Amino acid sequence: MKQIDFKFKNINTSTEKKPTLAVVINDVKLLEAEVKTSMSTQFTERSGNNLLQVYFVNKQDSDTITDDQQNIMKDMNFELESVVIDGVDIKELVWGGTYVTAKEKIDSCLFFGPKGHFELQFEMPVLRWTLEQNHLKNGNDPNWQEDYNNYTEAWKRLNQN
Amino acid sequence: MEKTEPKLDKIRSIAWTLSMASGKRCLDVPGEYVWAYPGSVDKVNMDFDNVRQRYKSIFSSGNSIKDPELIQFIQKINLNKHLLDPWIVEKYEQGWMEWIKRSNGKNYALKNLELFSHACYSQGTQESFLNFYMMNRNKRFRVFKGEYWWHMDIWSKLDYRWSYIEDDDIRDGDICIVSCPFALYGRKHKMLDELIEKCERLGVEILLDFIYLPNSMNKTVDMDLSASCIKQITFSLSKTFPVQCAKIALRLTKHKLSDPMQMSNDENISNRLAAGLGFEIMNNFPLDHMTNKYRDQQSKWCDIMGLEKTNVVHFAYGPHYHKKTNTETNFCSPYNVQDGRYNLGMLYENHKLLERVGLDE
Repeated sequence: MKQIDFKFKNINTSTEKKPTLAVVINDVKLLEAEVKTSMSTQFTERSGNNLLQVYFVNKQDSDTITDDQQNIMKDMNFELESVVIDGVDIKELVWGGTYVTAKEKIDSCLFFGPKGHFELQFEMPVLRWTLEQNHLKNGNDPNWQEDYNNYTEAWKRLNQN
Repeated sequence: MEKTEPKLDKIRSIAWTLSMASGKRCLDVPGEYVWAYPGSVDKVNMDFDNVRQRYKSIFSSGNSIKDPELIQFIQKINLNKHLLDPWIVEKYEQGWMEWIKRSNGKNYALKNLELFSHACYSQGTQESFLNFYMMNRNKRFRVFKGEYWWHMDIWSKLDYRWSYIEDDDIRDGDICIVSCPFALYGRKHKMLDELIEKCERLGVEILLDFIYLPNSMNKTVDMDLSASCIKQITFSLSKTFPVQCAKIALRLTKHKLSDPMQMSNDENISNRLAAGLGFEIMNNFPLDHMTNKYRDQQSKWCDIMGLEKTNVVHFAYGPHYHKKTNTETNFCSPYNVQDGRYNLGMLYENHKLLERVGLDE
């Protein structure tokens, strides 16, 4: 089992109702709970591609309070701040996720406003994936693969002895 | 230098392992390496970026071997008593001179050392350097390429004039600093004798920085200090004993200087804790303690990693093991070009760990 940790921020309510989310990884629901600033769960990894989905479970139209001109006065919403998978903070790669509603798919959206869910594809081992993705994006880490191999080798060496 | 084939894969494995062991807090002799912060009681620094950063700089610093015997000795000293001793700085200064003289002729030979009759406590050699900079601020500073980067960085920040010796002739109005053994490759610089001759002819002063002298061997430092251009020489314990953050150094001059450092010394307000620590170490350990103890270790690790031995017991020389990317800058300073110098200290300190993980052969 691997651990996944989330940080959320700007958790807002419009009534006494609290926002609730559900975490699904590889189609397995792992957690359903009120949104807190820090949340964690564990999942069974698949080698290669994995799919993370975070659902805004209890959002309804009545949670958005508007004035006569349809300006939003109060709303129940929150933002995803960071994701740490198996101890690795995926940092900016979290922006590779998409927020999916009934009407649209919004790229690079960490805001849970409308009813919908956030989804992100990642690969395990996640450290290898983050290094590769960062290099593909920024082109500034040509030695990432060798460094990753050396890092894992050192890890094994110290943990076997 | 001996011809050897560098074993870069082995060097990298050792560097990654030590770097991770530092973060995991499982080194035989824990502690920081400059630019390589370890894990601490509160924090295990094991994340990839942190370990990789340490990996890149693990052999970089010039710092001393963290000799467990010295560490144990230092931890037991009551330093506070020295605060009450108005003579401790003077005793330290005299102790230094006797200490250097006692070993003179063994691993190094400093002829006419007795001409340097004025000793002044220095808060690390950096204090001597700063005073040298200030008192000569209108001159053009000169150093060999590969010299201690701090000089060039400070001069650039202060907008002082400076130039590498290799890039222009020595001229009237210049002033030089040379480390001996030379900081980059742990031997006397091959152009030093020629430089002294030129400076003597032109009346250009040279400060000789002997910070690595106590760890030097094979008489790589064998020189006559009588040349009138050599007016001041500096020594330090920082690169020999694990006291680098205590700033224990000394300046010797042929004539008494009148500068801020000397004024503090004359006022008797120099750091008595540091002077006391230095005094205790010098009274209990010979100057060549590290060379006696670790000479064989240097040979062993140079063989394992395929590096060239230098004449400083904790240094080896070879190609850099880390491939720098285009955007990567030098550690700590753009003037730090000491990539080919390997500090072997942490290998000596952590030989049991390296043996346990099969990296000692």
